[in-house]
Amino acid sequence: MDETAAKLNLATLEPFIQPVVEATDESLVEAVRGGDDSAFEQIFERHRRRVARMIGRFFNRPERVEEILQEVFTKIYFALGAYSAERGPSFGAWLSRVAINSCYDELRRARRRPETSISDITSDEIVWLNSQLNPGTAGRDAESAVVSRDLANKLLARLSADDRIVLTLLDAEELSVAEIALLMGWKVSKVKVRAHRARQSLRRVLAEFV
Amino acid sequence: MNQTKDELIDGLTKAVTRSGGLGAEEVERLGSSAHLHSRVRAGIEAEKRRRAGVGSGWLATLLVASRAVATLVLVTIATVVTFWLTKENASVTPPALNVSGDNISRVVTGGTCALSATDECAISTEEVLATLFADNGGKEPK
Repeated sequence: MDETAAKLNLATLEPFIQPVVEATDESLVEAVRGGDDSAFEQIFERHRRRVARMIGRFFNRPERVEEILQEVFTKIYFALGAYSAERGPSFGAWLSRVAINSCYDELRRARRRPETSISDITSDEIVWLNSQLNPGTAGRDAESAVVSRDLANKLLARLSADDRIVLTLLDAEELSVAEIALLMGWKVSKVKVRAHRARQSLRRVLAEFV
Repeated sequence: MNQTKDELIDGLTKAVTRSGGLGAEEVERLGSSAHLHSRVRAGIEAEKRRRAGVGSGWLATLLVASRAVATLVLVTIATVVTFWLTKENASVTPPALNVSGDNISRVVTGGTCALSATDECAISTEEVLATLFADNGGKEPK
């Protein structure tokens, strides 16, 4: 009797139970185009952490990361009208592209007003770098070493924007050459050449100290 | 040994690249802060205002330009109409002047221009000859 009652109750409620289906990015984009600002809030909530992580790879100042995050989502909001999933990449890839391009622009601007010079590297850091290249002392390979974030940023600040972007996407984000080419709008051959040159540049920077 | 050092440098470059940027905790804090949302919202509103300002600026320029063009067209039309009316009036024969019988004396004192200017002032050849011969050597017949 109880079971029948429960079945009846479920049967009466069924038309009112909506299956919880998460809206796709593309449908949210359509909603924003239609003037639904709450859809943009959903897009923002869905991607904010991923974009923050991406930008955080390139900049060591929280206020800079915040600025670029704001810039990226503002750009996205006004560029949604031009976005088309049929003609281009997925929304996630498109958003990544906008974010990486914003980082690239900021890195280029930063190169014109350098805030860090190589002379900022302390003698302790130089000693530490050399210790990493002495296999006998630590008994571990340098790749597994935890480089001081501060020192890493000082060294990376010596690279050009192109070198920094390619190296970070390859080694930190662990993207393939093809993915980087798609993201940057470059040819695969250009990414390969740029990656090779970037490694050489960083080696030269390190060679000044080790 | 050299090979080993090269490998170590390669490894170190990767380690440096991976260590760059901001710490994971700090990034997570930034990515999830409520402040970020309000900041993005403020950025969007500011951009909307800026774009509206640029749009109204263009609109104002277009408005002024269209008014200037309309004014120029009106001035041109007025000039053409005035010119046309003036031409019409000029082709109409002027009304006859009320002249008295002293045309000859007036012509003499008025000069050559007056002689040829109007029909009223015009004198025939006979009248000129008569005047000359009547002069009789510059003396009035007695």
